[in-house]
Amino acid sequence: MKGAVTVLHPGRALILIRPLWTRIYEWLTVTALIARREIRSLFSSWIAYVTLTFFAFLIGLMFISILQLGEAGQMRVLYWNTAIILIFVLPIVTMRLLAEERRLGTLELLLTSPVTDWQVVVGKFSAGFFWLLTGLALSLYVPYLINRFSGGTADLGPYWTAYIGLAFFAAPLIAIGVFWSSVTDNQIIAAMGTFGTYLLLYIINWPTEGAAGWAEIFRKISLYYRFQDFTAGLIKFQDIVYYLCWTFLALYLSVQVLASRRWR
Amino acid sequence: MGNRLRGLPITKTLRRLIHENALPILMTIAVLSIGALTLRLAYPATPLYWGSVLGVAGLLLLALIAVEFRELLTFLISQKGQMGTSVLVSTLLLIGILVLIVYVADRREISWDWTKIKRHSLSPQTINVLKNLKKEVKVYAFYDAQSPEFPRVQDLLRRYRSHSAKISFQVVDPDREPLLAREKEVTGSGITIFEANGKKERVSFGGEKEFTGAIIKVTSDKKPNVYFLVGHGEKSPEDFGATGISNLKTGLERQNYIIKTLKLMTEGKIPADCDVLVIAGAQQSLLPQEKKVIDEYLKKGGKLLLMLEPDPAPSFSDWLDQWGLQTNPGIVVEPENNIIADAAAVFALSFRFHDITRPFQKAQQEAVLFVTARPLKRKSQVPSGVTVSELIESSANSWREGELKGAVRKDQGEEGGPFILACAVEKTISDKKKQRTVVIADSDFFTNGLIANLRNGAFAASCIHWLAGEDVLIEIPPKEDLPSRMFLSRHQQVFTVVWSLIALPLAILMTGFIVWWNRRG
Repeated sequence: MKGAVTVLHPGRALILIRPLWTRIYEWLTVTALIARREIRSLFSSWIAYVTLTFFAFLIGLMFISILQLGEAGQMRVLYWNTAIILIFVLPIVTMRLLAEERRLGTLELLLTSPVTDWQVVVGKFSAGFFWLLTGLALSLYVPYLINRFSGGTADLGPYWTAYIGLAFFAAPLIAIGVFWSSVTDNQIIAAMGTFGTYLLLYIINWPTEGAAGWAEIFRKISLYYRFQDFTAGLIKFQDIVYYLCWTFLALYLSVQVLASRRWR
Repeated sequence: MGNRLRGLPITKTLRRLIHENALPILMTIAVLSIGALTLRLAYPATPLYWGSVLGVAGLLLLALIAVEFRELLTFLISQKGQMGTSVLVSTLLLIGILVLIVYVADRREISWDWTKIKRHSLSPQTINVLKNLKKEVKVYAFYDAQSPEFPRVQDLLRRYRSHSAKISFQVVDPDREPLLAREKEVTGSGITIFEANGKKERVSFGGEKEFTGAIIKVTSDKKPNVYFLVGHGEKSPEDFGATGISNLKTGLERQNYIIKTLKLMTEGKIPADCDVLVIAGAQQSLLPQEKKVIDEYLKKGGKLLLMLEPDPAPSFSDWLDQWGLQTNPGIVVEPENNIIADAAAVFALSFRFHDITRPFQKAQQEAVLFVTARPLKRKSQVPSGVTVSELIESSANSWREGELKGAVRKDQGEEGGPFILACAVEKTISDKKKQRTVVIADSDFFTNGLIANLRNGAFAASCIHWLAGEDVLIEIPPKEDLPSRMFLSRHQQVFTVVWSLIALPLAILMTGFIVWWNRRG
């Protein structure tokens, strides 16, 4: 192949890479803007505060009752229960995310503006996640006090993994909430659907406890089953992947529902 | 045929019925499918149950499609239908990809242990063993699926596998996998079996220390040497006759043992590679010099399988005395379960709990047949440092028949049972060394003529296996969480309640109120 010379364009690689980075950056900027707008809107309604109060109060109640046992290692029960509380509280937080916009008719405005459905959905999701982080941050006094009360002998490792676990555990829950909120403009239906889905995913492994074969699959589907390792101080890569997959699936479905408005 | 049927009024009514109730029928199909799945889980052995339910659901679906065929087709070719289908297909595709990702991720063990004591990590010793593993090790753990031990063992073995691809494992409930449990001779929960090229090791419960020890044992290339003492009328592994024990030899060799005979009179010492010494029913007394050599051997942590015979065979009472045992002339007569009505035959069903008897834990369901057993009893005072564990005993109705002349019945001076038919004796020599001996009251039970009876062969092999078992000493410190107690002063208690139940919730509520107030203004 005489004369076949590969011509290298010095700028080419740069051109290929730069727009991608710029695009990602722009995408993130817009998403962050939407997220900020959503967070502001969520925290300017009473719902965020009432749910946070409820959340903090229940954690406080359990904290005190487990404190009676006088054993720092028992506090993992608190985080098991925190996950259960989230199952009850999160539907109320997420129910209005998209449903409210549909009800007020502002969703059309948002969808016809030059933002993509993904940006809208991720923005809404971020608002819910911000609520979660706030709630978790407000409970950080638990490890602090445990450390104080045990004179520094308590192993705080499992506490931090429990918090990381709660964040990963709640991510698919919030995404499912976003999905239900995109399906209906009725907030009550959105909350009920969300709660029902949580409950199903929570109890799905109950009738199959310990069995092999199909039961193994159900156990793998169950969201709560995988959470418990986190409270024992162990972070498993596979569990993180699992929660992220659920989150992605629920967000993808929300995007499809939003997109379907254009062809339905 | 469809066209001909279409004219019939009954078909028309049916079609209308289905058409008007499409939604309820669809829901019924969904419910039936879930029901079928539940039945599949509840009765996996009878596919008829879930199969028939699923069949009904399938028939309903077919009927629905048949009736609504035209509507369905119209919908599918419409723009809505096309978009919907493409979304459905892409969603299913995505679910498939995600399931695959989760499946692949689940087979990896990448984890971060954030506990202070590294509770979830293997010790460096274990990791070292696993890195140098050359053989495939198969692990079967049998645990009750309801017990908290089940996931614990599963996690532990998963960690083992993450360090070596040579490890493969199964954690199963023995009740749910009865065939596997039977194959591995497991009758209860809490047994873990390690297998590597023909070698097998059982671990009862236990954790990392025991598991790693078992892996070292099954993968070691060492073949245990079993020496049979000869020269005093003992049963010989070279003897193929009915009173020989060549069958036992063949069986042991198949399990990786090397069987040799030992003429102590000519050789004068016990070879250094001797793992187990067997005295299989000596008929004449050992020379004092021989006894001395064996004594030396035992003092260095030697393992001995001593099988007795009734008088006039030697009683070995000087040794038995050291081990907290005593014996009398005569034989054990067992009237219970003695179906062959032979005074000398003892059907023994009472297995006591021990490592040796673990394969025979089905109480009163398995038996060993002894013939002419020497009466053996535990002394009231067992010397310190010695533990005697009965393995099999005769029943309480058995007795010592002193004179075999005349009628066989319990006479005056003939003490009653139960008698020890086999026992394991452990004597502590030093901190790490133990002398192990198994004493069996009979040596006929494992001869070629009797070994095939009941569990005779398995019991003999189990005794030798226990004696040859090395104590793999690896020091893995136990991972117990140091309890960190919390004692709250009155002041701290009040503070906690005020802070977590009143101050913090109230502060959040106040913030909400202020936000609401400002917005209102």
